[in-house]
Amino acid sequence: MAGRSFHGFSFYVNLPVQVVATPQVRNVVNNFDYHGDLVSLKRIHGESNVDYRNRLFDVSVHPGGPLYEGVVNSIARDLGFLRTPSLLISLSDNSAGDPVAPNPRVNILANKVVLYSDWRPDGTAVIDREIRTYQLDDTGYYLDDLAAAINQSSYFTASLIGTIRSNTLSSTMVRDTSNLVIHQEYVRSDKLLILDNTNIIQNSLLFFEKKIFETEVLITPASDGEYVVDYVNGEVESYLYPSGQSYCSYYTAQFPMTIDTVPVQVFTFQDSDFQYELFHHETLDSGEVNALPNAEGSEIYHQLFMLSKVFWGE
Amino acid sequence: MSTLGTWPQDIYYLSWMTQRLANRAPEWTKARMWSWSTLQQMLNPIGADLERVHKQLVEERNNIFLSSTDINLIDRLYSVELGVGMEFTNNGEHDGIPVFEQPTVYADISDVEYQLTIAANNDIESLSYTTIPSRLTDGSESYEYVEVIPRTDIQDLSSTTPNDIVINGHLYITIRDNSTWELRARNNIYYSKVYIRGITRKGTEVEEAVPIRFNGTFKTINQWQSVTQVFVSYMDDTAQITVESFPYDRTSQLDTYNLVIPNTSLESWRFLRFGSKVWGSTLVSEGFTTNNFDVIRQGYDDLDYEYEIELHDADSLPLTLTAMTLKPNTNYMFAIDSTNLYIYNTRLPYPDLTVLESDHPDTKMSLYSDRWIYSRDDIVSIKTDIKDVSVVPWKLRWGIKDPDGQEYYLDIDGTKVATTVNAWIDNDNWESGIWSEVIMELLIQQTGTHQVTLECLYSDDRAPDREYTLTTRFIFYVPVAIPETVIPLPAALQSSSDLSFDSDGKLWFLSGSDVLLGNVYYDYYLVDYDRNKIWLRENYSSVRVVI
Repeated sequence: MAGRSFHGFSFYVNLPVQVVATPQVRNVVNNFDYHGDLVSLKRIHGESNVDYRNRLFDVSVHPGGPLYEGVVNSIARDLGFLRTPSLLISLSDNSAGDPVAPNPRVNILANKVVLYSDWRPDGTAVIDREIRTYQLDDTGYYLDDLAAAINQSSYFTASLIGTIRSNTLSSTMVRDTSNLVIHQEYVRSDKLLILDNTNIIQNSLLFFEKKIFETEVLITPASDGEYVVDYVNGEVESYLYPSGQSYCSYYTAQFPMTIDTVPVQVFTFQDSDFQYELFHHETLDSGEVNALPNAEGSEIYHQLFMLSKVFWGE
Repeated sequence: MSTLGTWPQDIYYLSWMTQRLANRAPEWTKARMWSWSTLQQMLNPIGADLERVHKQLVEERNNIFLSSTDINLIDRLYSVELGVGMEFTNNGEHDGIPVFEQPTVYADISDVEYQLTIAANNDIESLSYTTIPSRLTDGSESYEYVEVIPRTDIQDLSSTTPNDIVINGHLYITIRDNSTWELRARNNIYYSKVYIRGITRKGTEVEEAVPIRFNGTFKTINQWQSVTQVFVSYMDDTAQITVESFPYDRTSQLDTYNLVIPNTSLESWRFLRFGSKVWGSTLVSEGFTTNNFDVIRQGYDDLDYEYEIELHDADSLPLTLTAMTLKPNTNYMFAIDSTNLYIYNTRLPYPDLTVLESDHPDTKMSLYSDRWIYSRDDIVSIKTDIKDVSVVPWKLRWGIKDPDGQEYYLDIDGTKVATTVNAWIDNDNWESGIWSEVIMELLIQQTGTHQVTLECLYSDDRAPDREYTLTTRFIFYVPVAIPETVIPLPAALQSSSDLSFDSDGKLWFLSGSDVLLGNVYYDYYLVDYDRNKIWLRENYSSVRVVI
């Protein structure tokens, strides 16, 4: 190749005439970045308009915040991950078409999924099963194994949603509960009250008008203050007319329950479920439980001490 | 080694904004009524600039909302820096500006090296916004295409369950044969609406009401991922509705980027569709017959013909096209036949005005027509208009110069005859001093700019030797568009029946009952002489720059 040459005082070099390289990407600011500025979401290096717009769409749907879910949402979105609906848990019905579980509840915790067949706010908590998800040898470590384990329950069924990978780690599930607290719902002046939700949790339904809703009965109310509740369908029938100026509150079990996964998880040391994974649980001869950190626990403590200004001797 | 990329032809267009400016002149002026009057020739460059301003405003308005922001806005560029000690060859200065030698840039595409084309003006605008595609590949992604609501009578809509959305994004609603546009009751006016209830692409549950003002195709504001219910209010039971991800069921495409501005000031939206002729396809530009939307929504939604552009292939031969779609926020139309993708500019090309020769300065005759733009096989009718009734011509002779340069005389019924023939036509009433208007009708057989000449021979009984001829000219135009580029369709996309862009700017082809993705590439580069860099629009694994 005929190179261009440069003649110096006492030397002579051939300058190259061509360069072969892999192009480097560079973002160009456009209107999507202006939209991003309004919601404090920066474009990721090399991100396309389409991907960036999908993350901008996500801002109002999965808002960031100071609590667990907000922190997960915000970190995940900033890193370019979006929450994906992954696991669907439904109630198993009996032959009459009603849920088998009287008061079902599902909790997604830091290291396990807890299925309750009968959970009530008065302290009743009948656990159907607990499926651990944190360690590699846990039953529910992968999402498809977790779904299979849930399907062994006679109260719940589970399936993966859409094209979610079957070997998605269950620990990427966003922690959640199937129970929703309705703090205030308006009670119309009508003997038959149809609540906004179904699957009402027993012992959770409270009326402000105690005189109208004084005694819960199992059959059609026949005297003042009596009322009957259809917990599955969310219907209340009272003997007296409510005033139409009061409210009730209750817990409802929200099924089918959709559980999202996102490859960002936030743990706190205050979380006893998380602590469980970081400490040994052997009972010593003395009867004490060995609560020394295990390898993972020590490592995390070590890393945290490195970051914090707290160290021995001060 | 093959080269990627071609540049649009350097065609001069008539801006629709020019007519808007000329419409400030009185209706009796030729300046207003004739698209190529001297005034309008002078206004056209200003009109073109104003048109660009108008379009920028439209774009900015759309960019206010996230879901309508132009997805094709330039988002990233790829750069290659010259090596240490390398710089572009400087060929000296011209008027104080350094002149560089243009480098040659090659890129690896699937392990084959191609030479890239430099962006026309070596600027961002020509690299990104006015570029035309250089390459189309099979996107290897396909889905069975099902309309959310296939064409259904309104009365059957309530028993129709919406299908799953194939490609998430905006939905298109097409309404046909509706005649109820409002209902007046209890001092209220209720308008026809289509309601779509479902989950948006964001994940929120929404009900969107789409006001229907005329029979046509409407796009939703929201982008959708699923539809649970579609229902309507105040529409005919026998009207028909289609709801779909791609507007394949539409008959005419709304050009959101241009307007129709006739010299009557009845400004309208512009609708585009293909016209079908025995010799091939044309692009028909239409607008509403009225510009008053209060009138349009009463049911007067007829479209009026603005003009028709004959579509040619790269060899300037007519061709028959299957389908087309407009690329949003551009003037480009993507059209297909069974084997190729054609990119056309949808604006009206400018006629070759150099064909027009001068009238005689003393001419006493004027020529006019209802239209200036015709298409092949149309009959042009040109009428005379006498300016000075005191002097009537003794004889007259019609002539025509075709776009191919051939000149003929015309006999009284518009037939072309050779210029060697005596084609003078007597004015039978000359002796009575009477002139009756003449209408010349002729069949158009060629595209391009035609010039019609009327020669009037004046004579005086008392001085037979003082005969004189005065000449009047007239031009009419048969526009034709040549594709900016022609790209062969990959095998999988051949014989597609329709094509459309989705809300992510991707191009989908309808083939049988499937939609197939086509990847469109723009292989162009910019040279940054100051920073010793090459900027690229597409990402390549390896790029070679030779200075």
